Amino acid sequence: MQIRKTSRKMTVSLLLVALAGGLLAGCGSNNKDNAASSTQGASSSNSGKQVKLRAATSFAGSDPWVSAWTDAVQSFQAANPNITIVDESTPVNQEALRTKVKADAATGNLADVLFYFNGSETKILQETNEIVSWEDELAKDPEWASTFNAAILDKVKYEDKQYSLPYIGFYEGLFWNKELFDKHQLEAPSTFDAFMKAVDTFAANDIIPIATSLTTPYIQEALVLSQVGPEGQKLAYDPSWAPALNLIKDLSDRNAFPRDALTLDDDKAQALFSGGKAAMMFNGSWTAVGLSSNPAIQIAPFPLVPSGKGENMIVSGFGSGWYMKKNDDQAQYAAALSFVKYMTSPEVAGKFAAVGGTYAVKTTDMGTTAPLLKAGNEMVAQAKDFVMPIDSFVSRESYTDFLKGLGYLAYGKKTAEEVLAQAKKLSDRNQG
Amino acid sequence: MNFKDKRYIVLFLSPTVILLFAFLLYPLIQSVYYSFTDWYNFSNEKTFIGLDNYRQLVQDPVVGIALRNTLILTVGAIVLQAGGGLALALLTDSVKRGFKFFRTVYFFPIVISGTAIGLMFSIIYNYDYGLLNAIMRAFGLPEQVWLTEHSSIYLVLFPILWQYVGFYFVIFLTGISKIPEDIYESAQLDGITGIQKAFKITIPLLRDVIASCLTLATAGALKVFDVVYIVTKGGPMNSSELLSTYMYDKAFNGQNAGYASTIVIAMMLLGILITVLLNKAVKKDTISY
Repeated sequence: MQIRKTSRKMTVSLLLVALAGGLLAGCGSNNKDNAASSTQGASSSNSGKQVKLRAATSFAGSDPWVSAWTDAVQSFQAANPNITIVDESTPVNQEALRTKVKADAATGNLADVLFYFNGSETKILQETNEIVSWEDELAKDPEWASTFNAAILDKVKYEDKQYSLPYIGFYEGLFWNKELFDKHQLEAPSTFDAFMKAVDTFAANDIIPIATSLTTPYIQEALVLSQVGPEGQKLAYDPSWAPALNLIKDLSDRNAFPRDALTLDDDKAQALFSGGKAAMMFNGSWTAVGLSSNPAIQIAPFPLVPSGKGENMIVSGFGSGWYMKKNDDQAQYAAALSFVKYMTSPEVAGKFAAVGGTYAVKTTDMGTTAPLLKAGNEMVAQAKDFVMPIDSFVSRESYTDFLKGLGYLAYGKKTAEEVLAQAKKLSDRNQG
Repeated sequence: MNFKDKRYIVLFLSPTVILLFAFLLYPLIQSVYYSFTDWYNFSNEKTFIGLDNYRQLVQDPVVGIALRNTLILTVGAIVLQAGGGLALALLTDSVKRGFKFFRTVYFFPIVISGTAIGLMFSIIYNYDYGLLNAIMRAFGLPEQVWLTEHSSIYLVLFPILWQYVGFYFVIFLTGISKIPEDIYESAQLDGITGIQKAFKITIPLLRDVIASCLTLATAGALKVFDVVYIVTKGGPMNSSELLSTYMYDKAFNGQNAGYASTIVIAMMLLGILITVLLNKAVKKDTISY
């Protein structure tokens, strides 16, 4: 009995010692870090207080700008040793970033700096009353303010306030393979007739005319915008969209899309185009980077559909921007502000620009931009107007339902009017 | 048990109970509440709307498709997964050589993650690059679209069943190995054939094992998500949609967590119903030998 009691006491005390040792070890290293940084901080020009900034951006996972982002974060931390950035970036796919930021907003736990969506998403952030409106800071620093394109700044305002600073823009365009077009003696798809002729010729010759998944919205957006123009696009799910949607059915009947388009995902569709099995692809500027090494690939705006109102209109936008949280702590606020100014400086923006996209700030040309990327930027510069895609001003539930409905439409299971009516019903329910 | 022992029991059970309550029971109770609300975008506003979500659930055609698909999956799991495992176990047991080889080969798919299997099959079924169409081309046959609205649920059933057949195979094999040899020996003296041996001796003696495997197979079929979502995302025009994939779509793609909670409650009730029915069906006296 005696031996059992002592051996049990020993086991318990050993466990406690191990636990305590583990905890203390962790604390110990933190103390050392703080001591070192505070001495360093005292000698730098900043207040010397150790500041931790939480940054939540979309630059994670397979995003093309991940390396530009992580490099920028590291060089900022090297230049400002008293500031540590806690990177809470989350990928955009599977709605992971949206869910994270919305949950943070609901629990009052927003990160200090956000690079997040504009449009309908700004409302959710604005309702927390925790984000800064940038007018004051822009007025205080005119040199920094002048690096921004004023027209674009205006476009991303919400309720007339500048909650978000636009940064990287995207555009969507019709990528086409000049080699395949030349091989079949087809002219460039700049008019609707040339486009349809190309579709029919390729379909007859065992080449997929348009590489797209019917679960992604890109070509649908292009057709709607071309049909109704920017004014019509703002009327969510209006019956005037029906002719554009019927074109989707028409194209599907002519075998313009891959046979398994309903279960194809976007990556596989891009692979079909870059592998030369498809002649055209309507997709976003983020795919341009992967295609830029092939000199046969060109980009053009989507042609004007019969009796369409959207000539030379581009789906483009500055879908995301920099948000900053209000903070009573001066050191925290100043650190967050200097970080945002750093990220929007021409040098850092230039590094992002080398990867792709179009920018709302001035960028220093790195000299390595591919011709396809330059052509894309030209296309945007020459466009009559650009508009954000439909999903930036409708509810997500109605939008996902709309896209699913287009799949039914392409195979003749529903009419365009039915799809629009169902989406409108959901949209009204979501608003009310 | 005296009081001192009970104290330790409570102490060691409490972490699990706390975790179970915090991550399972409390969210479940909350989900029941959310199913009666309008809750979009994971925001702070949840408006109470009573039974509207349930009304929408009953009228939703996609829920009907999902229930049909769940039924197909459950029947497939019982007949082909548990049944297939049993058949393979009976066959492997009677093999003289290569016993260990077959056991490894049939068990192997379990260690592959569901996501990897899903990705593999989505490439196999692909029209332009897929394996099946490559085989068709090699034989001079026309290429097919494999995932259509009629075939999608069956084609997606195949990898799901294939993944876990080995699990039931191993359970049954172990069950068979527990049956004493003398029963077989005395039957052999009476001149029994292989098939009679399987149906008249082995299967009746495995009744307990079969009952628990049926419960496991049904429970497994009710919670499938990964393979289906990766291969078809709910399939051409919602044809391979399950309650789990539809719930995910509504919650995260549609950002409508109120309706998704309603679907969750429906899933839970369906699971309870099926399990109760199954237990009643296989409830018999235990066998001892």
